[in-house]
Amino acid sequence: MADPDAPLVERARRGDQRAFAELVERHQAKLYTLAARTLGSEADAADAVQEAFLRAWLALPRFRAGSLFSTWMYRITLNAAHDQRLKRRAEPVEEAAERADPRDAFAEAELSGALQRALDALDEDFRLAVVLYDVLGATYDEIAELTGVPEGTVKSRIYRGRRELARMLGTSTGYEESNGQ
Amino acid sequence: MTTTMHPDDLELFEYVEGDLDEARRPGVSAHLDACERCTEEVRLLEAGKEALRASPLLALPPKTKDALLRGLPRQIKRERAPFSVSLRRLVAVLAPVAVVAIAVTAILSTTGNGDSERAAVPAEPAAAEALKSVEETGAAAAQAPAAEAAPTAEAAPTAEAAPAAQDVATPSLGATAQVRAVAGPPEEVVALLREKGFDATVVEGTVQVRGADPAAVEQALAERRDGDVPVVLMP
Repeated sequence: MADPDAPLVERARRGDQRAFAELVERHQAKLYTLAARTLGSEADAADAVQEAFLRAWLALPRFRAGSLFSTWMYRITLNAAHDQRLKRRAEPVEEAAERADPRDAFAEAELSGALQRALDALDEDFRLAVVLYDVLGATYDEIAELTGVPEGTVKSRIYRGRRELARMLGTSTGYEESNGQ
Repeated sequence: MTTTMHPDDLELFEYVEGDLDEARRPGVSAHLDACERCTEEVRLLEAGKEALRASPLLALPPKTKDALLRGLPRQIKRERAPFSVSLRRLVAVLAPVAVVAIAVTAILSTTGNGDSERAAVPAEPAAAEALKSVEETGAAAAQAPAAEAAPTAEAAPTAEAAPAAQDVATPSLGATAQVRAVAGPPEEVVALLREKGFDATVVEGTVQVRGADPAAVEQALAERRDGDVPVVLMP
């Protein structure tokens, strides 16, 4: 499949910062949403996406057009989000409290809503599958490449993810009560 | 009878997505008309899909985006271009040439008529000024640390405007630093390298390896090729 980002990627590979800025503009919302929905924190998501774009910029001269730029960026973002999660776990509680810095009220509201609570409670594989497929519009092929499982498994994960999510949302009052909220 | 054989998960998923082939679709429809359990499954699938698809994309905070684009470090090529020269060296070579050219112009002017003599006077400071600005650019490029004092879109020319700047080895990495990209996270790459006796550390999301044979590092990381974590081989 021809990559619609190919001309910009080629320029960015040669060090063109303006071309890279356009790529950032094109992909920032999807990558930020991916990080925010998988990490459940907009501040951590912003750090992860910033780190992901930085890694991409540094690795671009060696980027081979074997996969779509968007798929490559999804992978880098997931890796950066994973690293961010490890970093956060290692952080003392006081530092985490000091860091609370809501930067965007809309994202903050989205991430504190019922959908995010349900996503947080989902199995990690199911969560990633439904976020990529239903929220970001990734294809089965892309998800299979990213997660390293066959297309049938991707469909099964989306199926189970949606079903679990609907159950949690459909009984949200009971769910919240049973969780002491 | 369709009611006794429930469709499997994949069939129900493909039914909801409209991907189920025509041959199987009527059978699953008929089953759903008669099976409450599968109808409930489909209802849940559709409700989950609807909730997810109604959720909007979130925008990266502008402050983060600006900080990212302002702080882009210089990219490092895998190999240096065969004819690459540093700006400092370029200035060192060109400076005497420019001085001679100016001197020749001045001599020729004084041997000509009075008009050309007057015209030659302002030429020298202008040339010297131009040379000075090239020298300053070169010095700044040679002194810029790898990541911290990176050129910004506003303050520095883009790579298109000044392709030579891309060939200048990042000074803090040393002239012979080489870079690979492997699958991360960096901490795991470092652990793997240390297990195999390499002097490896994580620096700002990159892996730095000191005093190692590039081929040996390549071999040690063979399983992790094609990732996005830069591995910098230091002399």
